[in-house]
Amino acid sequence: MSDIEFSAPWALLLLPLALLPWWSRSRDLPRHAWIALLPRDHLSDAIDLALRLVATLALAAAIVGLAGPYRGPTTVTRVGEGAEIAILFDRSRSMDLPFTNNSSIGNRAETTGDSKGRVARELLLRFTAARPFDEFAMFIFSARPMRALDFTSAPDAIRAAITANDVGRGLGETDIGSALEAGVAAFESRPYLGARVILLVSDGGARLDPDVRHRLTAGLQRIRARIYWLYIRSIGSATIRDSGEMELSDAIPEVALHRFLESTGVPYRAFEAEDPKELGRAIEDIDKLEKHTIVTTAIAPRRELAGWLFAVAAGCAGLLTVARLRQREAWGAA
Amino acid sequence: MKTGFAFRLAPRRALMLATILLALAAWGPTVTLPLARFHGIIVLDVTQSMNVEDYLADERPQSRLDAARVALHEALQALPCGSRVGWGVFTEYRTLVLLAPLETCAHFRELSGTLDSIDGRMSWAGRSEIAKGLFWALRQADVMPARPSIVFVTDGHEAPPINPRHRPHYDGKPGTVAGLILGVGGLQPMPIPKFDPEGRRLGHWRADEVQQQDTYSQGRATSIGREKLVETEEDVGPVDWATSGNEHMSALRERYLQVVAEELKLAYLRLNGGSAGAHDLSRALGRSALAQRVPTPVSLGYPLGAVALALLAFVYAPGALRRPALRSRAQPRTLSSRS
Repeated sequence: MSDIEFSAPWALLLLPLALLPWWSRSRDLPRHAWIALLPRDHLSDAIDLALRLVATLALAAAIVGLAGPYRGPTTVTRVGEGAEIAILFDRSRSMDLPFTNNSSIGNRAETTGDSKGRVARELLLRFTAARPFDEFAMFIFSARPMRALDFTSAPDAIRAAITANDVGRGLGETDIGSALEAGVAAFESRPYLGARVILLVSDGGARLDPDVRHRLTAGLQRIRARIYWLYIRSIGSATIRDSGEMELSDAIPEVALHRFLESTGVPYRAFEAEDPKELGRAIEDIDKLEKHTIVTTAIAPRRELAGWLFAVAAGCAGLLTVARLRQREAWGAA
Repeated sequence: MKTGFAFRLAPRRALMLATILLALAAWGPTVTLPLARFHGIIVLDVTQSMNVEDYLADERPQSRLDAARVALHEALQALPCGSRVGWGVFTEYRTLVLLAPLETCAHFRELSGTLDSIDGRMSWAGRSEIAKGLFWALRQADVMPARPSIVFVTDGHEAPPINPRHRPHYDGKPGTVAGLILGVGGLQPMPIPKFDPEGRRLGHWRADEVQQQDTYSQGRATSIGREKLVETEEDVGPVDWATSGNEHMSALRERYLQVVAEELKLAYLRLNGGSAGAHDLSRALGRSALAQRVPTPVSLGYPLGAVALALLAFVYAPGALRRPALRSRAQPRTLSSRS
């Protein structure tokens, strides 16, 4: 619970106005000095006091209301089915190229229109929109990992981080090792809330240095994350599907990365997609796999309290109006 | 007596009206007005010259990038709800959009989180071709939905230096995308701290480690090695143009940025240190050139409440009290006996 704050605190300077109803006594008493000669009427005194209090309350409530009180953004705990997902999104130039399927290998003319990156982004948009309880963080990477968004479940923010990649072409180099390390670091500074997922979306692999491999293995085990690799296969790229027919060679960067991720000891699955449909299925699979209870905190937007104060002021003003109306009736009766 | 009666009636009416207005205010009606709100992408230069510490914060040196971030944080808070801010970074010769524009009030945490994570380690290459990066940003904004404006935060230190005669050329139409160049840094040249890609500090850049001359002045390929062509003999730019031989030092190249801003029909603002600078920045961002009219719900609660308060104050103001005292109102018999 956060404290109450004001969006226009200067309005509180008007608060002395709330004492106006008490001023009348000193002014009026001498003019009606004869009242003092009457026997003291305790009921009248009480009603007088009450009306002044009500008037003060009406003025004070209206003034405080005008100062725009609000209870600052509060955190609310939500329990749902989801995970904390760090998306590592490849921003290398090759992602700007269109998809391919086996039949068109070597024939660029037959490739489908949308780039791999665009298709991946659209699927990610659908995936994130369908999982309201997930906390997403977005990293884009080329030569360096860049955090575009820290963990959040705000749908607009997630969308903004994904669609930002629609603009401009990709960057030259790719360093998956440092991207994975950034993903690990993103979790390391956070309390463990529930299932942790690193979702690597790339169209290539890499042979990592031994010390990077060592650091990653230790880091991944420490943060207890699962890894999914959405491998978007390009024209002429190697498969990481072990069909058993052909020996997969570690010399192929994709195979090397696949083998390394398998060896880390944390749950890992690779999804190889050669066309948008396959990519869509992979995303659906991940959606199915990641159904765990997660306790997250969401930021509830700040609550404006002015309405309540105006309501109090309205109530008080209503009471005073009724009191005046009765007074009028008394005159009329005389 | 008639006038007196009318005078006494007014407060009653005022009270009744105040009650109605307050009830309306409590209900909280809103009208949607097309208000001008900032809508843009703020691009931060993350090249190494932005690490020069020529600002002061609490008597401590502060880097250009940190000073810019602090000021942007304050500006982010000061922007009215309905404003939309996106972030981008500049290195090499291009701009990369990290986050598309987002409404600032609902996403303050997300926006400030991303701003915090923008630092020199994001830099994916060593070059700093600012004009090209700015063109890139403008071109991107031009094709983005709702055409956001561009705020380009830089010190104007081109690396490698550019030749005033052979400056990159903007192929778009200046003025299509509105923008602001925010110049950061001091006017006194300072050594540039050197960092490795992981962000570890390695002293300062030395004179022999940076390209001191622009590519043109180094001489074009001629039949004999470094023979110069006549046209490259005298390339004199504005005062703080590339300072041949002193490129390992960095100052805010304000004149250069002003020239670029003028050519591209952008505004220019120098970021001063401390809260004054942040205040100027907030004001500049609020200017209508960078804004777009967005349907913004405006609460009628406050104006209604303000009128109601004025009515209440009128009822209890001393001037309006020249009539039977409040005290006597509770004693109808006394009053009636009087009339």
